[in-house]
Amino acid sequence: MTSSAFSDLLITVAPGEILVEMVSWVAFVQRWPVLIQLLLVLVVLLIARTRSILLRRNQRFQRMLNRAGLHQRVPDAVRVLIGPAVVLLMAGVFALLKIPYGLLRYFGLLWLGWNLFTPLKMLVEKTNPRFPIGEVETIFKPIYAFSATLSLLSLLGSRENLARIGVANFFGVEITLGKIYTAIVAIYLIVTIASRPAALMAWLSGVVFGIEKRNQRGLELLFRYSVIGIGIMGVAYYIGINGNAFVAIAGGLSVGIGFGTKEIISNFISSIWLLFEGSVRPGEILMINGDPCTVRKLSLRATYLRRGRDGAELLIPNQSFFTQEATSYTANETSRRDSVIVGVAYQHDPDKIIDILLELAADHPKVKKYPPSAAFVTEFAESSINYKMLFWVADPLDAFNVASDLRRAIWKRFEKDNITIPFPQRQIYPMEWPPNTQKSLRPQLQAEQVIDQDAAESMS
Amino acid sequence: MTPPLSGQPVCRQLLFIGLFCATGLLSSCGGGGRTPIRLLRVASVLPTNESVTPVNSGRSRERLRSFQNNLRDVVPGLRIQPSLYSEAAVESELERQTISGLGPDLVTGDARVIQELSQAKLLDPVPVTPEQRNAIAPGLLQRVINSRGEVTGLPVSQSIQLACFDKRKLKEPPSSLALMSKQSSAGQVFGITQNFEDLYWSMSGFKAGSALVSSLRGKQPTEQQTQRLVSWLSWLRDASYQQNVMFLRDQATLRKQLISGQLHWISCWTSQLPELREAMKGNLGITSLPAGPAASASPISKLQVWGLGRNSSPRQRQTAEELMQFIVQPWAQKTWALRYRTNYPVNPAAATIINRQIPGIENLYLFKAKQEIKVGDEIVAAIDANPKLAKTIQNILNEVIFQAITPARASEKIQAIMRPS
Repeated sequence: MTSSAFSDLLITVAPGEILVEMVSWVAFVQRWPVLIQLLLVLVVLLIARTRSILLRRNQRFQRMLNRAGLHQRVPDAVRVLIGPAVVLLMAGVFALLKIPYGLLRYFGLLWLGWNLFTPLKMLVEKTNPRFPIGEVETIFKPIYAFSATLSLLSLLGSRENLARIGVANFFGVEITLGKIYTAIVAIYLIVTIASRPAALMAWLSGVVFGIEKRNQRGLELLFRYSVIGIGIMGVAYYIGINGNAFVAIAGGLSVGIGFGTKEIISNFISSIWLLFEGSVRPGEILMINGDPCTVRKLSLRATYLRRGRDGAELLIPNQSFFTQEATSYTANETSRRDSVIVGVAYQHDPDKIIDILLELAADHPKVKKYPPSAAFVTEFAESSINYKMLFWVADPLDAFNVASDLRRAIWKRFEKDNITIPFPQRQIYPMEWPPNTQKSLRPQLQAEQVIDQDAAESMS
Repeated sequence: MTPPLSGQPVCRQLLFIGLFCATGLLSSCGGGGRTPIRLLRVASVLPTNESVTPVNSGRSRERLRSFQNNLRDVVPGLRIQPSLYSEAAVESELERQTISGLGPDLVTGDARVIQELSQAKLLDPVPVTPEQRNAIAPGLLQRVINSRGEVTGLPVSQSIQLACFDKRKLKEPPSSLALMSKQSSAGQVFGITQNFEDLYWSMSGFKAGSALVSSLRGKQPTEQQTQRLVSWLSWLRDASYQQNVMFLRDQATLRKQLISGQLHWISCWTSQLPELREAMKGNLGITSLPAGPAASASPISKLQVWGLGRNSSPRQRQTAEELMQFIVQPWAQKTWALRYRTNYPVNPAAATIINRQIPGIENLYLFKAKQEIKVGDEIVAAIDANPKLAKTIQNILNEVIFQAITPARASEKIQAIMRPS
């Protein structure tokens, strides 16, 4: 599709009417009750803000307040309510004087509602620490801001006007400001709240169809994406984007995907595929570059893993699982086989060593009985006979610790049974370069002289 | 982490306030250095049961813009910022705005709504000048005077009920109720609303209004008057029996069904003609409403009234009053009536010009059937002043239409509630 064809379909209307509506608010400032109310709100707001900024940055001021004992007397949770209370008090005085007071009341209540969240949060955290107040805050605050904007516009008498202003013409459908606003709120709500119905559906599937807990998490993600997908489609239909527009958008996107968003779409498709395939699901253990990692989250773009070795959070693009090799310890079987290599002096009987190694493995509680552990003679090395002990653990993340336990047990047992673990010994002579025969070879010459003297003495 | 400069947010806030004030000053005093802008916020109330849609919002905005452009010579620098409200929402919205000082400067709506808003203390009484009093027909001004004798709003125009039909479906619109009945038997589909205000035209055809007026004046209606009222109510019941006469809830549904071809004939208001013209183009037929057995139909008019908001600054109030002074003068009345052809003047002198200028509307002209018009005005004024009365009458009519009550019993009930208590 050419760009001109696109511009025919997608015509953006100049947002002049929005500006005209906003400029019309200036008419309100010509009314003294409005002006006074606004000024009072601004003054209280400025005092509150300046005080809190000064308090945060000026230590002398802080010390002064502390000395006055003001902080002890008025806790934080109450102090944040003082500003709104002052504004509401002013609204009360205005009402008694029969002067328009609605703006003071509006801003006072708005401010109070916002600041009330702090003490409420503290109260909930104290009474029920398990309650997901953080999540509620994430949803609540933007919704509060959205509603506050709407009610302010309604107070200004501009809500309907602004809502009806056409901002763009999208495939023959006039997109108004109101529709855009509603769509943003709806999409935000769908994306943030979708996890709840999805978790319920996954849990129900678990109860009804007996799906394992591990698989339930994958299913939950699938449900979540479905809820989001259906929600976004619903919002698009609400806006008025019909099937033809969807086809046109898909056509346009396919060009865009081809160039710009290929990686993103590829990762998204990969995530869906991985979920369906079930090879990478939250809670599984994968070997990434030789390290066992737990899959924490499968998002649209990347998979979040926690590396067992150092707890580092890894972010691997989903498509990597299709192009690169990753060892899964949990795709079908969760247990992992690990090994310990040990060298023993030549004089000890290998049968005895193998018996000891098998015995030690059998004694460890985390080593699986089945498949059984095994020990082998792997090499007649320069100074030792090398043995390899193979054992199975149920949780791949335990392999590292179990191997360490086994090495300690081997050392202790060998010490007890006088079994030697040989190791090469080195003697180090200081040398200099380029060699100075007088100096650098002196220790050697001295040593040779000692040997010569010993030889002469023994001959004499 | 704290930014290095202390007090920076305060400075930024002050900067924003400064910018805001500067923009305000520039906007209010600006206008390219020519004339100062005189901005009026106007709240328009849609008729009963009509909701705010993008289409009517756009249409109203366009009309106001053209109105504003034409008025620039009379009120220099005038800029009108409209907001549209449905009747259901207007009172609560204006109440919130008025107690905040953000109320509109002008409120336009029909007489009943303006009366209600005035009762709710959301409007100031209009100081009618002698010129304005002379310019407006006395009967119409009477409709906007409250019990304290104050003028709640200034009548600026009136819309009249007509019959709208689809020329493709109905070759000859009925001139009488008897013909209407005959045509409906022949398969033509007629649409009427259940609203009392919208049904008055049929009442006038039976001369049934005089019974209500007698009751309103505290007199006992004569036997003949009562009989006429019963006859009208009987017609209403009989019409509801007919397969092809549809009683619908509101005008919006009637219009929609006429446009979609489900109805062939509807009763409509002149104020709704732009929407119908836009949708039906040349297929829209307009005619007078069918006459009854006793008289021709004399529809009541819906009065378009301007009310004064309570929060205007002295300058805004002055602009609003200037505009009100101008709008009822013959020239303005004639010009707007001829330009939009949706509303009729309130100024009798202008109405005479309209009759001469637009041949063929003589039959529709309000001031012709003076006696019936007076009866209608009196009934409407009573209903406008008492919304509860309107609701009770409406309930009785609904019972007649749905055959829950006999016409004779309904007539008794209506007369009883109309009597002053």
